[in-house]
Amino acid sequence: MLRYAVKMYLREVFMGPMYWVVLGVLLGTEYFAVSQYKGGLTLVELLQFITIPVYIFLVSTVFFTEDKVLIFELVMFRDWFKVPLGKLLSLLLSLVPFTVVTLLIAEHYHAGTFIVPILTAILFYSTAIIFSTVVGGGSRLYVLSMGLLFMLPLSSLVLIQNQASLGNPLQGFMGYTTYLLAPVYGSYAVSSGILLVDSNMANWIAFVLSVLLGVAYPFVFKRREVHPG
Amino acid sequence: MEIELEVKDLSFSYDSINMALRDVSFNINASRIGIVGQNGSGKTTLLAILMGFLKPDKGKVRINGLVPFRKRGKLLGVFAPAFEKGRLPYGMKVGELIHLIGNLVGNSEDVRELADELGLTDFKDKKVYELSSGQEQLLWIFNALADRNRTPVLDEPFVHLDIHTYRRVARVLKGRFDSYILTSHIPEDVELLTNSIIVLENGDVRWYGSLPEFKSTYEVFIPVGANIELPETIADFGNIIVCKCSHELLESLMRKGIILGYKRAGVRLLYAQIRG
Repeated sequence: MLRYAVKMYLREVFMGPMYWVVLGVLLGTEYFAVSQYKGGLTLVELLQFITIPVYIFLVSTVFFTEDKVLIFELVMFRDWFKVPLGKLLSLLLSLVPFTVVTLLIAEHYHAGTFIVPILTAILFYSTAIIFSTVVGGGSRLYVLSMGLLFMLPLSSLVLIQNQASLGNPLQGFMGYTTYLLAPVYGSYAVSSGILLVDSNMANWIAFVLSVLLGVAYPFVFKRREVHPG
Repeated sequence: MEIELEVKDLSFSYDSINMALRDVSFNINASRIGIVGQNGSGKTTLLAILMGFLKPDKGKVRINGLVPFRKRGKLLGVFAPAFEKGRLPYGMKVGELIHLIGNLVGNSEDVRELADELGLTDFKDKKVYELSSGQEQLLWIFNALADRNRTPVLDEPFVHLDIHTYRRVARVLKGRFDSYILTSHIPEDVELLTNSIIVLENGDVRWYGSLPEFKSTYEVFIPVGANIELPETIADFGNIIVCKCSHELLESLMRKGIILGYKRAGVRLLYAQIRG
């Protein structure tokens, strides 16, 4: 059952030409950002505010299943655990093409220090979004994911820069929170001295949170109500 | 297989203000169960609770001895529900979905035959998201009927179907399955396909059991706009009148072309009696 579920969801992600066009555009912009601009900030901002959020939004919309459709899938795969597990695995697998090429670009153009934050960001955003699907599908999920992927990272940037310009760089709980919401930019901010947190620790926190969200998702899904009407 | 439904003091509300089901109680043990009621009477909600998709606010529910919300995983192995109105967003072709469901059921040949019988193969090259509402409804029904070992549970299965597809679905349903549950707001659907009926009205069960044989009581089909006086009219549903009259009288009216036809009274008479 799980094999068939993963296969079906992955096909839904990869089958349309739109996916390949957007993937090509995103990776192309990353390549031009590193090959034509000196310094890491261009790549950092591009990754944090455009390519990572756009890509995750692109692939995760397949999993924004409305309750009525979810019933169809539950009946088809006849398992309350394997359906969410299939969705989680498919989402993680659908991240591979973008992640691998992005990491190769970063490594090749001497931006290897961002490899861990890039992985952290992709893992945290994707698990947070798949977890949020337990609230139901449709417009609510679009708003939630836009907030998490686009608005909160920008808010973190504003907060980090404003506080640093006031001579009061963020640290402690606020520092880790802003890092978590924008790991790639957070990593750059730490190396620039405008965010006073331990980036290794911050990456670990994000990783542990991602694992917790990913593990909790199928169990919470199993207990949720599904509205057919 | 008999389906055993035990429901006691069941209440459910979507918003804590308006009750979708109010203190519903009934016990039914039958093979083909029909739930009939007007739009908004609570049919879909009752079905969703019976299948474990929704948790009751109050009351006890058991289906074949199982508490649905707690045993929802087990229920999915026994029942195969299909609800109306869900738009399927898949980019795959109908033929690919038939193939997938065949693999999942573990009997591709039988599933392909079912797809043929239902008429799904006529549009197997269409993408699922491109289907019309009737074709999509058929796909939902197909998903619920694909596995012979599970009992279909169909919510308003005939709403978007044309008359030919209706006939095909009804034939497959009766031919392949000894037991099933279906809801409908059309009395003829449940009279034709089920042997035990639950009548819902405004979130309350008004009547349940096997449909009694109403002697000398008929539902008479009259032409649109015709003004026909029948003896002992019990209820008037527009172009259908429920009356107590002789078979001979109705035969003669039909021969003269005054009425279109008649049948022994069923759910419509129940409706009339329920409403006093």
